Amino acid sequence: MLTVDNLTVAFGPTVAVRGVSLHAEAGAVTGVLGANGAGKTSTLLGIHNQAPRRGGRITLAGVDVTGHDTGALVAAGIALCPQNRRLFPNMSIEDNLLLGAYGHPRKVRRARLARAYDRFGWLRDRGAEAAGRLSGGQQQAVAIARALMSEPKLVLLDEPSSGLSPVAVDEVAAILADIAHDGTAVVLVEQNVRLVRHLCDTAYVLAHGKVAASGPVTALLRDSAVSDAYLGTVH
Amino acid sequence: MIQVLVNGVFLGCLFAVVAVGLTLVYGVMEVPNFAHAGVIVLAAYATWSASAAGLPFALAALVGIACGAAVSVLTEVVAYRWIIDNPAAAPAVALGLMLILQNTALRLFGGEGRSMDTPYDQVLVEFGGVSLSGVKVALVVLAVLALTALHLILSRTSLGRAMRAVAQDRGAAAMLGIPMRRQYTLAFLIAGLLAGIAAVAYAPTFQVSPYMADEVLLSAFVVVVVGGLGSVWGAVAGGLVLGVVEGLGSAYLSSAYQSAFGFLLLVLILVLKPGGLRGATGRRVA
Ligand SMILES: Nc1ncnc2c1ncn2[C@@H]1O[C@H](COP(=O)(O)OP(=O)(O)O)[C@@H](O)[C@H]1O
Ligand SMILES: [Mg+2]
Repeated sequence: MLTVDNLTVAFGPTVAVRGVSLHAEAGAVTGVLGANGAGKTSTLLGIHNQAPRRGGRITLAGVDVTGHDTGALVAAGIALCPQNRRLFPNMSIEDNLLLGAYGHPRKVRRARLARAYDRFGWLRDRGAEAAGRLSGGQQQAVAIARALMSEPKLVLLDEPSSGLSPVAVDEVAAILADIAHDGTAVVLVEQNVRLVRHLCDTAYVLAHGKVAASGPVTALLRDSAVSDAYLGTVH
Repeated sequence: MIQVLVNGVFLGCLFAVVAVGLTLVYGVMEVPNFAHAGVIVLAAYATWSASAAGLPFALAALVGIACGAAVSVLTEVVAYRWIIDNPAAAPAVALGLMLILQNTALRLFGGEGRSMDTPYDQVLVEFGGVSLSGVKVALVVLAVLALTALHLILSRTSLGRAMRAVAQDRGAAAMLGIPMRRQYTLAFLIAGLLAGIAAVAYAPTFQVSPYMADEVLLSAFVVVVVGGLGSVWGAVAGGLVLGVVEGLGSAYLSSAYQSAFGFLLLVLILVLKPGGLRGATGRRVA
């Protein structure tokens, strides 16, 4: 579904991503692991044209979308669920969701809202509440629901588990498994190795802006050299 | 006393209409739009010219409002758009634009004030012992209509929702694929319409001159800060408070220092509540 070829992202003199290539299949969750500052967020923002891309090609379902602006990318089927969720805390849950379908006719927006309420039943009666009032886990669910409002072919998620309780992380995991099950391609950036192990078949490990290792998750995480050097975790 | 209060409300409506235009632009683009004063001036001159050319006042007013919208959008397209990534440059650019617009008016129309006549000049509305000129009643009515319309746009339409989102978190809005440029242009379009309405409404009470909006602009900035930057309701409430304070101050203390009472209020509020009256978390347009 998504092919990223040799992506380079630089903020002025700071080169955050140095020639990253990766691939994500429809109907699967593809993991991207790496320590703080490894370039995970910059990779997602580079794909979504929200960070200065210095080189590389982005292909979605065989179509070259390199250089398209974010609006066109969303329309083409790439949704981003950003780091720290980035809901509009003073706006209602419903407004937050509807913004995910910006640019579509009113009827389409309403139909998608109904579908979001079908998926997240507990939201149905709370649409008028300010999004900032929800718990962290609930906010993450709304952020994911908002991303789905564009009916994407591919969802990019940036550390959806960060700051959440173990129970809330399990709920996020269930949502992501469900999205992939529907045939959507999911790219999951995480520092939570357990979550990636649970959801992903394939993962990439980033370090210093480069892909340091990649392959089947089980093999990747069994390799203690990879774990110790790049993930800072003890198994 | 009641007369003074009513006059304060009149001033407050004027401040609110101007301040809402400023706060909208600040909320969406983080620009302190001093050029707003120049937009008001050109809108007022456009109305005056159209009227002098023989158009009926209502049509002349529409010409003025349209001119305000056009000039405001022009400032965004030719100037502000290009410095969006460089907010430190915004005040200087805004001040420069204000001078350019005022000097344009000076060049075209000369320095002496022109009086603007309206069909409701001579009307005097008596209401419970308070008398109000037709001009002031018209201003209050226009202000209420304009702000109600704006409220409906912001709360009920997709564009308004996007505008509130951009004001609250520009980056997050961009990541959803909301086109920023359209939002910037829209903010300036609405601000320009409001500037035009302010010009049409209050020019008849003073005079049309290149510097007619200077004091109003200062007061409106006080209102924007007092009401919380980027907050439309803060601007409306702040406008009314400031209008009454300035009205009372000039009636009972000294009219020469009318604007000074506003600044006193500003300093007082900022000392007591550094974020302004609506100083909640983050910016908002709602
Ligand atoms: N907007 C920015 N401006 C300058 N440098 C940035 C910016 N965003 C990220 N960086 C730098 O790019 C590198 C990668 O950051 P990031 O992609 O956020 O890593 P991660 O998401 O893996 O923690 C870091 O060195 C960071 O300091
Ligand atoms: Mg990150």
